[in-house]
Amino acid sequence: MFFRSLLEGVKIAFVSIWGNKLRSALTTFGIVIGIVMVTTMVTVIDGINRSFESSMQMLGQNVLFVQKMPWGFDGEYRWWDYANRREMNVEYASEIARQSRLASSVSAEVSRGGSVRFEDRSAQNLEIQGVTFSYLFTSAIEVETGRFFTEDEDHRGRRVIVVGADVADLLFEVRDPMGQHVRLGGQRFEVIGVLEKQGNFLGMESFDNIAIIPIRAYRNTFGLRNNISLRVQFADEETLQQGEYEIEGIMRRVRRLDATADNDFAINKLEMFEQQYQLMTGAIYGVGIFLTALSLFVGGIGVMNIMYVSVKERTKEVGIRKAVGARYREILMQFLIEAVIICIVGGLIGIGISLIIANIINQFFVAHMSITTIVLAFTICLLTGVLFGFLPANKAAKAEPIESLRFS
Amino acid sequence: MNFIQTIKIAFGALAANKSRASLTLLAIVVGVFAVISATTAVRVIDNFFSETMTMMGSDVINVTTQSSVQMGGSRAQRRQPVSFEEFERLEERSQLARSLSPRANFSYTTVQYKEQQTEPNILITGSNENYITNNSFDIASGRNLSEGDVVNGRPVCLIGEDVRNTLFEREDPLGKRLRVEGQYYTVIGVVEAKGSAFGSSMDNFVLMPYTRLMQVYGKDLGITIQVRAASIPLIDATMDELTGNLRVIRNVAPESENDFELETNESLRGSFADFTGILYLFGLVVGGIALFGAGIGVMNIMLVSVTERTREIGLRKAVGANKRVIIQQFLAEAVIICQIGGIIGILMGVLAGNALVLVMNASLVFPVGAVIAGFLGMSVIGVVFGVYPAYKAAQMNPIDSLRYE
Repeated sequence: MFFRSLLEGVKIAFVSIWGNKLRSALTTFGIVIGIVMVTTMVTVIDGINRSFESSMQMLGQNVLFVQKMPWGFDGEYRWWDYANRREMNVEYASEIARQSRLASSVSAEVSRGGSVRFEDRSAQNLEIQGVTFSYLFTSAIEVETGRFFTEDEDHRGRRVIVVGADVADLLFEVRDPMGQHVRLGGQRFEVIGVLEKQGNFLGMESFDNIAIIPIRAYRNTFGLRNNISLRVQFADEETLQQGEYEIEGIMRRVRRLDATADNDFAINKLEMFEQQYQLMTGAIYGVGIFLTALSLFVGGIGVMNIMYVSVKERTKEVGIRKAVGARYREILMQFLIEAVIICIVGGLIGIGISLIIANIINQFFVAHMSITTIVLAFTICLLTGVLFGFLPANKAAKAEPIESLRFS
Repeated sequence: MNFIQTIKIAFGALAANKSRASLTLLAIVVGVFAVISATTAVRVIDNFFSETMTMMGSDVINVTTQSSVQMGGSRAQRRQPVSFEEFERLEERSQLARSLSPRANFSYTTVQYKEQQTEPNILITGSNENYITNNSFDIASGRNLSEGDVVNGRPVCLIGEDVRNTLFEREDPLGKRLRVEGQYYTVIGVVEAKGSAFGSSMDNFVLMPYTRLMQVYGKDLGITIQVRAASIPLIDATMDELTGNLRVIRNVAPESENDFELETNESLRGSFADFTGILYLFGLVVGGIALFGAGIGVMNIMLVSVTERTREIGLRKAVGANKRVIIQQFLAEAVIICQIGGIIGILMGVLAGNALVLVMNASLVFPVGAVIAGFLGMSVIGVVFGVYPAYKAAQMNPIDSLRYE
């Protein structure tokens, strides 16, 4: 019974929509505009967030950074309290690795700007990193061709170098980089690996423009005094939470800190970075979504307005249907379905257009259309139809059949 | 039929369908609100930036190696910093450039006076007698550095408001001797407070002759040179002269790019203008599309209105109304609804956009241009979206119209 009245409603709705083609088209167009705006905004936000996420992942997952200075984001940054702390030491890495039960690997790293030369070419303004062997595990680097240096090469401080994809392209072009000798800081380094190309997003961290050498080779070339930072990696998020305290304890022991003394080191988490990012972007996204949602709201008002017209035009029809026994629910359904159909058709067209726009935006910026977004957009359309169709439909369904029949 | 009558009929038609008219109005209000609030908010941000950026005089040029507003990666990171020697050579060579002053931050440290001491975040700045004017500071009491102080490297200093408040709560600081990292300096002046920019105070500094600080801290330090053009129209000529002189002084090979940056208030503001320009465009486009959607709604409702009043139109035509009158009638209806919606939307938009002032601590904005454009724009939108329905009404055949049910 319910199903038959539903079917009846759909039929009537289609006839009504088809009977007023221009009107229906314009109303649908209003919804299309709204949905395109909202969906596009969401895809762009999604795109930016994903790029940020992948930039974060490049820094490694489930890692803690043990450093001299904390990453300050909120409030006053009391750098003068941190400036005179002792520097980090490469030996701490092996100390932590030995003492910690929770950490899966620990590495030390240090970096500086510099350039790498090969024959008459030079790659300038690179980030030169000196790292320990376990950096391969604690960071998210992937070696595309060749290999990373071994633990033995690390200990002996062999002059080997792994370069980023852009560096390799620039220096060697079509030649095979493996085994070539490049100059860095006045020393000859043998290229043993090239990193996977990472791509770059809005000037954030990228591995394409770096050169990695064993930290002991770094010490022999540039010296090693400050800016050393340790990375401690854990198996998962949960271990990391517990591990933070373990590492703090180990560091206090290593540093021989008195029970009353404050930490003279900082344990930094990527989480801090993400929180700050969410804080910064949250407001901007909110405003963006709000502005685009206004378009959809305008479209919804259009639907409501036209539904009122439709109800008014068919007052007599509604009266007759009621007189021959149609109930409140059936009349309500009839008009609700009409509104929902318009919104869904508009939504489908809108989603299609958004897909195209997302692709275009991707050419020069980032946008990502996920299934969730599509489902969400579709749900929003459905809701818009119900929400803005309800009042007119209710008006029709509530009308007195006698009054309606008398209407001309 | 005259103008007033047209308006009257239009209002009559709108009043006859109150709920329909108000829904259409609401759509228009929302559309206009979107445009105006977004653009007003961007104006507020813009204002905030330019108010904060006006830290130096408008005819002052900064010479640095690192540009202070950096977007994306920078190739300038390993440039040779500007040195005091370069400053002195530049001073000798300059003709157009005047009141040169170096700006060197020698240290961040604690400043002491008797038992009082500050947090170790006081900026120890070295410069000469032009520093105060070049950075639009004013002297609250005492005197500026003199040429003699600089030439002889006297141990004197001017202090910022923050330093005064911490060290000299009840005393007159003038003539007192401050202790900074083991050295004593006599306070000769207090600089008027400037407040804070981007969350950090601009009044926590001690200014001393750079010659003195060079003796204490050494002269191996990167500095910024500030230069004043003889007049604002001469800024470009002055910048050319500076570029030429600096290239000679810094031995830049003829084929190489400059290894320094010249910045003015204008150029700083320019880089922010790029940023706010994008925001502005975004607001305009997104708001504009919402408004377009509202316009479609108006057109749709006008079409309905025309159909519903087919008989009325037929009647009016039969008794002699010509096409122009019918078009006028429906256009007036569309324009009126857009205009009313426009005014409400503009008011709400300006208010909402200015709500940002509460957060950002900038001055209120009344975007006259946007308001006028909005007002005119709404008439245009009324006409654009009203013209087709009106035309359709005017084209009707009176006989068919009268027969219509």
